[in-house]
Amino acid sequence: MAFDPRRLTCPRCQADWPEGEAHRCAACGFTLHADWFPAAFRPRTVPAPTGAAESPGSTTDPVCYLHPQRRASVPCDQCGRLVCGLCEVQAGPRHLCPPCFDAAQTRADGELPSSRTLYGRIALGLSVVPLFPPTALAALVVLAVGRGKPGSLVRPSRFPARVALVLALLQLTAFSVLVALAASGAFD
Amino acid sequence: MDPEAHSHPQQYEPLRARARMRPLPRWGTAALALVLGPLAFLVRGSRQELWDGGDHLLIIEDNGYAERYRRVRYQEVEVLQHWPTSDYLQAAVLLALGAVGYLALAGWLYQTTDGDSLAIGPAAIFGVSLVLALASHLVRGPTTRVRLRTRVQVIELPVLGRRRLADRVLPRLRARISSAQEDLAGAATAPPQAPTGTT
Ligand SMILES: [Zn+2]
Ligand SMILES: [Zn+2]
Ligand SMILES: [Zn+2]
Repeated sequence: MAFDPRRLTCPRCQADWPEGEAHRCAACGFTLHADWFPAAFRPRTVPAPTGAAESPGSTTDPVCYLHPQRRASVPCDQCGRLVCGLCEVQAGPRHLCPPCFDAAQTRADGELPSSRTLYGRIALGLSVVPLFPPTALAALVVLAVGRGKPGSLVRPSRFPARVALVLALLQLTAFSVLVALAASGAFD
Repeated sequence: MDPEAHSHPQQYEPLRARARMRPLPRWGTAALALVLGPLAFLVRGSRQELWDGGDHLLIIEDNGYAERYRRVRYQEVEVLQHWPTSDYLQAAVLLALGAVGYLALAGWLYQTTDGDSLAIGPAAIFGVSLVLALASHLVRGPTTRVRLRTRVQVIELPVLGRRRLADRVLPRLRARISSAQEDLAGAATAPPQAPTGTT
């Protein structure tokens, strides 16, 4: 049997979980709670055309490629396939079909980023290593690399980056002063 | 769907669900703690978080340096499965046995060597860390597993690994999913409607 990422199994015996079953595995009797939603019961494949579908009127009506019984309202900006109002996903200015919406997530940047590097947090981690110039410099490099790049999708605060900047600069200043004092013979 | 919601940067509401993903099952971590003591609790995965994005669930995996995002559109959710798991009891028993064992060992060493044994300290540290781990495990309560299926895949939600958390978050998810699929519930019985011309 081919790998099917959609395959829902019984947690105990790994048998296919029956469609629409809310509680009990038919194979082993394991019980769980399954909440089924209408999306589970919409048609997955284009049904065999009935006699009515052969009429000229219905062939000119574009249908949603995911809902063959619904009229399409918009093409997907990514793949061009026609989808109905239920399927259409707006991602910023774009209209996408659900599969392209999923694919868009795998891109690193754009309207639907799949990941964000937390430059501020990395810099903060480096800058709290006390009085050690290499990590303070590394923190500044990280801040420079991350400058202008968007942070966390849900916590866009620049606070960690600012604290890291202040700490790193303080450390470098303190170190420079120490070096200058040593060079001028203040510690002799 | 409200077009306004998409013309601005996406607003996310925290579902206050956040937990470490586990490279080992709970009883495995507990068993490791019997050997490694407190060091065993350093073996842990990324943090998973759930946020509500209005029309989709945002699943965040935070490894400390970067956040990875997965989105599950409420309209796409076909089924939510959840069930209690027995590793709550297994982990509790292992941690309790370990805690009693190490503390008894520390006490016995203290008595027999008049406090001179170098092993007393480590045994006490192991015992105390297992007591703390057991207390934290018991406070967080019984364990569950939650997964959902969309049109394209089955997704595990290890973040909802405690029943109390799942009991708080699942009703919100169910409500979101049901209201996102209201149209679909009608469409299954009603004849196809004319396009509304909202592009
Ligand atoms: Zn079964
Ligand atoms: Zn598409
Ligand atoms: Zn459709």
